[in-house]
Amino acid sequence: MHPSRFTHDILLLFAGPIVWGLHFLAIYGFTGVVCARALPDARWLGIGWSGWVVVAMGVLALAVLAGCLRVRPLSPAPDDRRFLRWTAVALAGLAALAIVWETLAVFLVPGCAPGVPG
Amino acid sequence: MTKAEALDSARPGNDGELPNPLPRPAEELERLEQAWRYPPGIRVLTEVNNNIIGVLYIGTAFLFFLLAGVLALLMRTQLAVPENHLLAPETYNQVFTMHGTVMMFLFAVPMVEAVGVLLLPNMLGARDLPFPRLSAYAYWAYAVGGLVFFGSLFWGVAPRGGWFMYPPLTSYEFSPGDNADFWLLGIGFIEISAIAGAIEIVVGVLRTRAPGMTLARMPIYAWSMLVVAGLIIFAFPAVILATLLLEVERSFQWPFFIAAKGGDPLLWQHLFWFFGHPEVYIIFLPAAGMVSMIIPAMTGRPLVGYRLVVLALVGTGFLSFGLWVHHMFTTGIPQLSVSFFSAASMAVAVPSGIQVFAWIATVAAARRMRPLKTPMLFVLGFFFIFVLGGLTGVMVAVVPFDWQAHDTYFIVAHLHYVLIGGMVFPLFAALYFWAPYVSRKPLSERIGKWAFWLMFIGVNLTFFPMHLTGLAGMPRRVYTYADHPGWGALNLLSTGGAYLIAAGVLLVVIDMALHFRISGRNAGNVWNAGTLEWLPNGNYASRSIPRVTGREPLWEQPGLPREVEQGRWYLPGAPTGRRETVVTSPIEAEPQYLLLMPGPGWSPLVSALGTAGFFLLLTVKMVLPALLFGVVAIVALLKWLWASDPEPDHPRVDIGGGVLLPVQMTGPSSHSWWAMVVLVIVSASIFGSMVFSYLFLWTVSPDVWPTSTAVLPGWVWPAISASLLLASAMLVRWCNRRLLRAESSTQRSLQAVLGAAVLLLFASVVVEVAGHLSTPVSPTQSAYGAAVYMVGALQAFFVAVVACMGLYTIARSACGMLSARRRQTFDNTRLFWYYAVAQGLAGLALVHGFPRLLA
Ligand code: HEM
Ligand SMILES: [Cu+2]
Repeated sequence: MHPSRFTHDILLLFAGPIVWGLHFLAIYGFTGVVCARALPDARWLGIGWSGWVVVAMGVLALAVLAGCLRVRPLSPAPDDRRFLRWTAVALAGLAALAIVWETLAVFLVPGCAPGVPG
Repeated sequence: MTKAEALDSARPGNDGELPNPLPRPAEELERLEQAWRYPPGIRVLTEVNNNIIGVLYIGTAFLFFLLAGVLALLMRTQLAVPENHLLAPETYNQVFTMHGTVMMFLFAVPMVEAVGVLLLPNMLGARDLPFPRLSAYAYWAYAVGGLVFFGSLFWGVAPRGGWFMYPPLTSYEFSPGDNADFWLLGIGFIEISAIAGAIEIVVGVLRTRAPGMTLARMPIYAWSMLVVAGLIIFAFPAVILATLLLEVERSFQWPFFIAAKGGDPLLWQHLFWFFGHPEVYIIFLPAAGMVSMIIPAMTGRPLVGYRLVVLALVGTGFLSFGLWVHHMFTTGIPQLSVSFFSAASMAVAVPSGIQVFAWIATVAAARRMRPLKTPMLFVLGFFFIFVLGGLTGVMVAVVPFDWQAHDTYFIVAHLHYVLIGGMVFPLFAALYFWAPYVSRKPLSERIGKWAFWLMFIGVNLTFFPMHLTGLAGMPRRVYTYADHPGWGALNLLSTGGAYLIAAGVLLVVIDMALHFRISGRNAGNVWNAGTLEWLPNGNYASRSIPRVTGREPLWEQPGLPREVEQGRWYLPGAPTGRRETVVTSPIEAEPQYLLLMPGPGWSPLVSALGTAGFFLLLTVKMVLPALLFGVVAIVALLKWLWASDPEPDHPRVDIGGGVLLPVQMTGPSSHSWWAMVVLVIVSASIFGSMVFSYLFLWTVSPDVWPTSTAVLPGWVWPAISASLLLASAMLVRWCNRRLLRAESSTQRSLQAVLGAAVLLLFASVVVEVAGHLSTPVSPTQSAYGAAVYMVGALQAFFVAVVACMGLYTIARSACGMLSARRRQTFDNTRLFWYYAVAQGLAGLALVHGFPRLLA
């Protein structure tokens, strides 16, 4: 098997979790910097602009996920293709769930207040 | 129809169509046995075969389990009654630190890899792992280093900062002396062998599966080990960097964790838990994989929901990286950030739940459960204990509850329910299940049942009361306590339970002494299991390598054991007269080439001893002898490498069924290229952790970052450094072109150009460091200086490694061992070279670009 075909199929298989990872890195890094720098926080519908950026990142991540699922596996055996496709879709579903879950936090908790008692 | 399908459908039971006809030539088996024979006498230590290394590895990990268990008994004895004076506080601190460290790093992680080393090749239908000497090296470094590390306890120099060693407690100010260095050393060995193991596992699982064993037919245990190898590749680099930073802070006073100089102890927590949480899954997923193998064998049913379980393993593996901050809920991180992690912690429950349901469904569909056999008993014990641990896990994932329970015995109870339930019980199940696969006799059912009940009752008796002592406010890591109402009685119960566990474990040890015998033949497929490791086997694994058509080949292809043993499947002998296995393509597992494997030799053992001596002596600051050992390690390593990459002059080999395979292969399909790619990924994650550290320190102490470009080196410095890097990469590229042309006259110029490229690399580091030396910033003065110099130091290390590889390649060329066909050495060097250049450029961009963005 040609190595690039392997790379293609493996990336496809893990596309969901990889998108999730990048998304997680982005929202965590972004929030970390915004909070560390205490940037001015204009609010809209009760949520700061940084919150809306996080929401936008979530939507973007879901869009990318949807795009990834349009790609087809290259493996020649139909058995493999079915397995790869099924697993890729299921993993993308799990990743989407995690992304939605994490984004919802924006609507539930205030942004930068430290999360400790007292 | 593809070739694979044609073969699949042609196959079933039709004797005439097996790849190799009977009768087999008389000397074939003898030749195979000859190639895989163990060396006699003391030289058996030089054996690298996975059957021996795997058993030694498991035995050593088990020894550490016993040793750490003795420490646990010591602690429990001390805590049996209030105001006890058995152990001095200082000793107690060392004992609990060693117990935690040894259990996590010298027992759990190595055990997981050891079982993989023993089981994977046979389960996949390979003759051995792709890099047997690497496993042997990893094993010996771990065994020697680990035992000396444990010995530090007897000299009173064992670490005492807890298994996660939080600074500033463990920095030079509050932990002078060598104790903390011993911790850093001890886990250094685990870092080395874990990475080596991960390389073996990735390449082994993806490239040495039996023909026809597509990804969709791979045993679940192999999936779990593949995911675990991935976790090691991305998680261990964080702790490697963390230990490096702490050691540098302790030795040279570069302030990474010291708040007064712009450092931050939280940086340690981030790096440690970025590794530490996935670590829990590094321990648990292989155990889950074993359970997924044991249940089908014991119930006579294929695992229900195979694809869902694969999804669960992969999903858990990825999501576990988004959980590290849940160990840091009480450290004042912004609420929104905390909730990302809280949400991810909930999401990870989805795949875990899927796995549990798949197991329950399989058990419910059981065909032959009764009478309950010992392995199944341990699996059921695992369900019970692990689920209870999961429930208390949900409790501590609730942030306000965590504030209450934090650092009390409630956490100790939760942690042990999860670890013992999730890892130790499956492991004992595996021991009873797989013993007949290596031992001449199975272990005793009777003793096994007794051991199970002692351990099961013991664990609950020890740890259940700890929930209550914890809620009653008893803090953890205290060497004694006053007689608060109720504390004394509960603690006494816990201590009694601990002795019950010990009695159970002792029974298992006795059982092994009585029944565990390794001697060529084994007890065979006593459970009537369906996967390939239960084929009849010897030192060479199975006599011939079958083409599989499903997930449980032994159930679906009933004649298989006999056919395999008669040598009617692929590669029934040793056509080259050496040890060899078939390398297959990574997704559909079609044979690609024949991999020649090294036999016994002293170099792995000697270079492991050299490595261990180097680090140990460095820890006690005996620099010169340490260097001596370092040289020994490197010489042995070179000797071992020198023999690899032989001339690919063997004609193609017929492994049967008309399959003609080339011997060895170079370029991107070769197994060594794959190993190199894994190494590059590991290196990139170490560097990634460094970039994170730099940026993190900036977010916490922007005040120590330069506010104007005046204190930065002028832009010419990085510009020159970057050009030197690029130039060296161009030269390597030129050499590559040149080598392809394959005239022997090109070798001279190739050597000269490669030598020049090495010099350019060195020059790039010198220029970069000179640039920083020209500024007033110093590495000891602030976290900024420390971070900048550390990026440079990391680059210097990589350059040194690449330089060694370059010189080695030149030497090979000078000895006429490099050509267009024989070029693995060059290809590997080239790959790592490009990586080092890329890392250098990224480092320059960070160190010189980022502050300019701010200023
Ligand atoms: C088999 C019986 C075991 C007993 C009786 C036992 C007992 C203990 C005790 C008394 C402590 C000290 C708690 C404290 O003072 O904070 C402790 C801590 C710990 N144990 Fe165990 N343990 C056992 C098995 C294990 C296993 C199998 C593992 C891991 C695979 C493990 C990992 C740990 C860790 C990580 C700590 C924390 C150490 C620290 O705070 O630095 N234990 N254990
Ligand atoms: Cu965790």
